[in-house]
Amino acid sequence: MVSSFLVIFIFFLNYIIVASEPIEVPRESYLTFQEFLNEKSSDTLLKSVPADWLALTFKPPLLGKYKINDFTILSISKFTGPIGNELSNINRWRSQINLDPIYDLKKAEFKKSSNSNVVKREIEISNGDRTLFIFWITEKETHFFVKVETLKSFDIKRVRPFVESQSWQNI
Amino acid sequence: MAKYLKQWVRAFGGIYLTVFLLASLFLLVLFATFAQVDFGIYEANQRYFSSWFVWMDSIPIFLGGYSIGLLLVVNLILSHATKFKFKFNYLGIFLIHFGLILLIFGSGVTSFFGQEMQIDIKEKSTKSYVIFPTLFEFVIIDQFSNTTKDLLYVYSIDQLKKGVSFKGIEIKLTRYYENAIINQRGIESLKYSQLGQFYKLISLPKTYKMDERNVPGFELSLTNNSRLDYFIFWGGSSIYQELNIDGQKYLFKLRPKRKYLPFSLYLKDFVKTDYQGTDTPQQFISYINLNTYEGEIPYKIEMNHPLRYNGYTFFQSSFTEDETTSVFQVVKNPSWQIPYLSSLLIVIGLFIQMIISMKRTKP
Amino acid sequence: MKRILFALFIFLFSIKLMHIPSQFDFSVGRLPVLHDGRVKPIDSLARHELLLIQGRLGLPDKSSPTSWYFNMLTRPGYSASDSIILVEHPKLFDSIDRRYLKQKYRISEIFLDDNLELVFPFIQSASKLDKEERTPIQQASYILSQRYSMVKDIRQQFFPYYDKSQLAFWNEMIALSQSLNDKNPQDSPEFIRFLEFYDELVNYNSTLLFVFDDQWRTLTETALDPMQQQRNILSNYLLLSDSFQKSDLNNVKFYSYKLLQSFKAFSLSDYLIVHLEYFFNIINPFIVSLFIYFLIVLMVFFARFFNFASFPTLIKDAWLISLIFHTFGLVARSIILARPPVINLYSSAIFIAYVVSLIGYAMYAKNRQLFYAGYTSVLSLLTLIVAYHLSLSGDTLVVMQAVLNSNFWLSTHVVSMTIGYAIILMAGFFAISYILMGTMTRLLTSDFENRLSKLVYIFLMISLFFNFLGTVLGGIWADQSWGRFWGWDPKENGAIMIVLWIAIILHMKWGKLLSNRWLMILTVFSNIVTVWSWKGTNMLGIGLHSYGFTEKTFYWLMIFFVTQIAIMVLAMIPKHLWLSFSNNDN
Repeated sequence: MVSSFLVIFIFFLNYIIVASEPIEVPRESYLTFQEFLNEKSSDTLLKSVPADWLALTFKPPLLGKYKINDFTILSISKFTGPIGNELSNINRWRSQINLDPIYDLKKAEFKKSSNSNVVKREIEISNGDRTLFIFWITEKETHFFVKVETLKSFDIKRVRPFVESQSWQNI
Repeated sequence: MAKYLKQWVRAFGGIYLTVFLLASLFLLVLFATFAQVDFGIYEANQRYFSSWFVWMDSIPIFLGGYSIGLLLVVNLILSHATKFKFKFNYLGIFLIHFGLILLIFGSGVTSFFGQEMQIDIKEKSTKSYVIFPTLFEFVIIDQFSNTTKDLLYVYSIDQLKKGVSFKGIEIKLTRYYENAIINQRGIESLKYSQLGQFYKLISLPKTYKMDERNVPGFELSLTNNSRLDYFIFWGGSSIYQELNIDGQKYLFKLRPKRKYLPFSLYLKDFVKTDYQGTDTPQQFISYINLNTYEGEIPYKIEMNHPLRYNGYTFFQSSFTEDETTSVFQVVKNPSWQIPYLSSLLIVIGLFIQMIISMKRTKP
Repeated sequence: MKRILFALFIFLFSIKLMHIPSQFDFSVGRLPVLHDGRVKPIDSLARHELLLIQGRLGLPDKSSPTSWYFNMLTRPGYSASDSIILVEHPKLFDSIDRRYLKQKYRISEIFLDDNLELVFPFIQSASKLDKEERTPIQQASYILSQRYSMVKDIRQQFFPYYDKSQLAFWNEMIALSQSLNDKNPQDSPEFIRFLEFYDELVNYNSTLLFVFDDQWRTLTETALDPMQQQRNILSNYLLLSDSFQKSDLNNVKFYSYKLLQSFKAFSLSDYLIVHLEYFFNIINPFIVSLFIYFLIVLMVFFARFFNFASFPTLIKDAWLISLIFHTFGLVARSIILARPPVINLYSSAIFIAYVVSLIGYAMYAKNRQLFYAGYTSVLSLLTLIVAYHLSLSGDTLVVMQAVLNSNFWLSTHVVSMTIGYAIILMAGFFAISYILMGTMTRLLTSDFENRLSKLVYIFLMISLFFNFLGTVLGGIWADQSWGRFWGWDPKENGAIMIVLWIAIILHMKWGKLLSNRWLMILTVFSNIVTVWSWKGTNMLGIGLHSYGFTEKTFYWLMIFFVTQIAIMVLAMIPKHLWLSFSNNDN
C-alpha cells in the first residue's frame, strides 16, 4: 500500500519540476546559420540550382540529387580513374532500364563535343516508359555524370543551362 | 465499522478479484499486441501499460497497466494478510507472491524513473551527453559570458506554447507541427529571418512505424520592444540560428533533448565482423575510453556485454553505414536489479510448488 | 523372435525413408562449400536451393538433389526444359494456357525465358514495396523472379564453357597465354581471343566459395589470380567437372577424393563436420522418426481394438528406435552449428516433439498404458509434420544474427521456453482427449477422468515453472543486450500470456471455481494461447522477434484455432449428453 502511494506521489512529482536557471555545459562548437550560408555558397553545384527543384538526400558517390518534377529526378555523380569506354557505360545505363546491350556505338543517340581538356557527351536512352538523359563531362581523369531520369516526356533544354553553368574543375 | 472493513478486506483480498485481475491483464496484453501493429510498440505500450486506463477518445474503456498492477499488489497483500500461516506447504506460494509484489513494484519504479537514451559517437571523438531520441527541447546558448563553459537555457515545447520571456524578449510559438520535414523555398520569404528565409516546414502525418520517428518543427515570433521577428525551427536540423539582444549574441535551436553526463566517452575504434562470405554481422565491438574524475578507463562494449557505469548502462545498438560511428542505447534504471531478485524468488517458489503438487497428486 | 523380426522390419522401413546416395552423389555431394556464412557439403546446398526453387526435393526425373545441382554447375543448359520452378498464383500465366490457372504448379526455365516479361510490371512494382504491403500477385511474381534468378545464378557458380566444356575453356586459355610469349602480343588475333576469354572469366557471376588449400574462393577468382598459386587444385575441380560430364565414375571418385584430402589437410574439424552433416542428410532422422510415430499410432490402434498381445512390447521397441533417430538428429544439428538444439522456429518444433516423446516414453515405460503411447505419438507426429512444413522454406541450419549470437542465453532461455511449450501442449492434448473420449465414446470412466484431471493439473504446474523460467531468462537476456528487462514486445507478450493463462486456470482450481469439465475446456484454450505465442506473434511483422509473415501459415493457424474452439464448444454440451456419462445413468 505504502509503495503504491509512493508511486502515485512520484508520478505527480514528474510534472512539478521544471528547469529555469541556465546550466553550465562543456564548450562545444556549433554550426551557426552564417557558417552554413558560407559553406553553401562555396558549393558551386548548389549555386545555380533552379528554385523549383527540390533537393533530395543523397549518399556518395553522388554530389547532389534533385526532384525536378513528380516524374523526373536529376542526380550528379563523380568518379575518378578508369571507368570503362563509351560503349560499356552506355550498356550499363541501358541495363538500368532493362534494355539489351548494343554492340555498335552508332546505334546510340549520342552527341560529343570537346574543348581544350574538357570532353562533354550527351546521351539519351529510352525504353518507352522511362528515359535517361546523361551529360557525361570528362576532365582529365575525372568524370561527372549528370543523369536525368524521367517517366514522362521531358524537355532536356531545361537542364542544359544548369549543366553548362557549372565550373566542373572546381568541384 | 470493523465489520464493513472486514468485508472490504475480504473482497479485495479474495480469489474472485485475483481471477478478474489476471483475466484483465491477459486481455490487456492481447489488445496491446494488436494495437502494436497499428501504433508501433512504443506508442501502444504508452497507451496500454504505462497508463491508468485505456482511453478511447475521452472515455476510459479498460483498466490500464498501472491500475491492474496496483490492484494486484493490494489483492496479494490483503489475501496474505488474511490467510498467512507458518507452514512449509505455504512457503512456495508465499515466495511466488512476495516475488510478484516486488516485481510489480520494481516495474513501477522503472516506469517512472527509468530513462532510455541514446548516444552516437564518431570514431576518434568524444561526447559527454546523451539524447532522448523521441523528446525535443528548445535551447538558447550563451557562448560569450563565460570563458570556458557554455551557458544553456532550456525550455520545453509546452513552456513555449504558453510563451516565455528571455532577457526582455517575448518568445511565442505561433505554429507547431508534431512531425515535419524542412525544404528549400522556391522564392525567398521576407517574413522570416535566417533559416526561414530560405526554408519552409512541411507538415507530415504522425508516424507510428518502428523505424521512423516524429521530428517536430515550429515557428516562433520574437517581440523585442515593438520589433517583431519570425523564425522557423526544425528538430532534425544541425543549424544553430543566431539571436542578438542588446549587442549580445546567443545561439538558439530546437534539438533532441540532451542530458549531460558527469563523465565523457571517447570512441577509439569500432569493429564489425561478418560471417565469411555474407553480410550477416557476427559481432560488433566498440573500443571506448571513459574519461572520469578518476582518470581514463578503457572499455570494450559488444553485443550482450554492456558497460555499466555510474548508474548508466551503455549497450551496443547499431552503427552508421560507413562503420565509423557507433550508436549506443543508454539506460538509466535505478531498479534494474529488482527483476533479477524477484524472478529468482518466484522461480524458487514455483519449483517448490511444482514438487509439492507432484508429490501430493499422484495420478 | 518376434522382436527381432520387428526390429528388422523397422530397419528396412527406415532405409526406405533415407536418402541413400549413388556412387556419383557420394563423391561430389561431400565436397565442401562456404555458403551463407557456413561450411557445408554441396549436398546440403543442393537440397536448400532445390527447396527454394521448386518447394520440394523430388525432381521430375527422379534424380537426386546433388546430381541435379552438380549437373547445373557443370553442364550447360542442363534441365532447362524441366518443369521445376514453382509458381504460386493462378493469374500469372493463365493467358498463355488454361492449365496454368492453378494455385500451385511448376514451369521450366525455358518457359520463363520466353514469358517472364508478362509479369515484369508486378515484379517492378513489388520491388518498390515492403513485403507486407505487396498484393498476393505482386508477391508471387516477386518470388518467382527470385527463383528464376536463382536458377540462372546456379549456372554461373562454377566456370565458363568453351565448346560446352569447362576444362576445355581453361586449357584453351592457358594455351593462348603460352602462345603469346614469343609473338607481338598487342594486336595479334591470339591476344584479342585471349582477351575475350579473360573478359568472360571476369564477367562470370560466380559467388560460391570452394576450398583452395587454406582459402575460400570462387573458381573464377582463382583462375584470375595472377600468381596462379592454386592452379593444381583448380585443375582438379575442372577435371572433376569434365569426368562428371563424361559419366566417368572412376575419375569422379579420384578427383573428388583428391579435393577432399586437401580439405582434410586444411581443417580436420571442418572436414568431420561436413561429413556429419552429409550423413545427417542421408539418414534423414526426423522424417524416419515421423514415420515411426505414425507406425506407433497404427499399432496402438490395433493393440487396443484387436488385442494383439505382443504389440505393447513392440511399441516400446519402435518408440526407442524413433527416439534414437530423433536424438541423433538433434545432437548432429547442435554439433554442426555448435549451438544449442533450439535456434529457430523449425528447431523449436523438432524439440517440442522430442520433449513430448521423451516424457510420453517415460510414462509408457512405467505403466504400459496404451493411451499414453497413442496420445504422445499423435502429438509428436503432428509437431514433426509442422516442422517438416517449416523446413520447406530452405536451410534450417542458419548462422545467427549478432544480437542472438550468445550460446548461454540461447540454451537456457529458448530451451526452457520450448520445454514449457511442449508440456503445456501435452496438457492441452490431454484435455482434448478427455473431451473427445467423454463426448464421443464410452471409454471415459470416472477413474480415468480423475487420473486425466490430475495429469492436466501436474502438467500445468510443470509448464508454469518452465514457461516462467524461460520468460525470466529471456528478460535477463534482453536486459543484457538491450538494457531493458521487459519491453512488452509481441513475443514477450505471447510468453506472458501463457503464464497468465495457466495462472488463471490454477487460481480458479485452487479457489474451487472449476469442475473437471471446465478445467479441461480452459486447458484446451491454452493450446490456442501457446500456438499463438509460439507462432502467431511472429506473423504480426513487428518487434525484434519477428521472422516475417507467411500467408500459408496463417491459414493453418486459423484452422487450428477453429478446431480448438470447436472442441471447447463440444465440451460445453450438457454433461448428461456425453456418451460416457449417459452410459453411467443407464
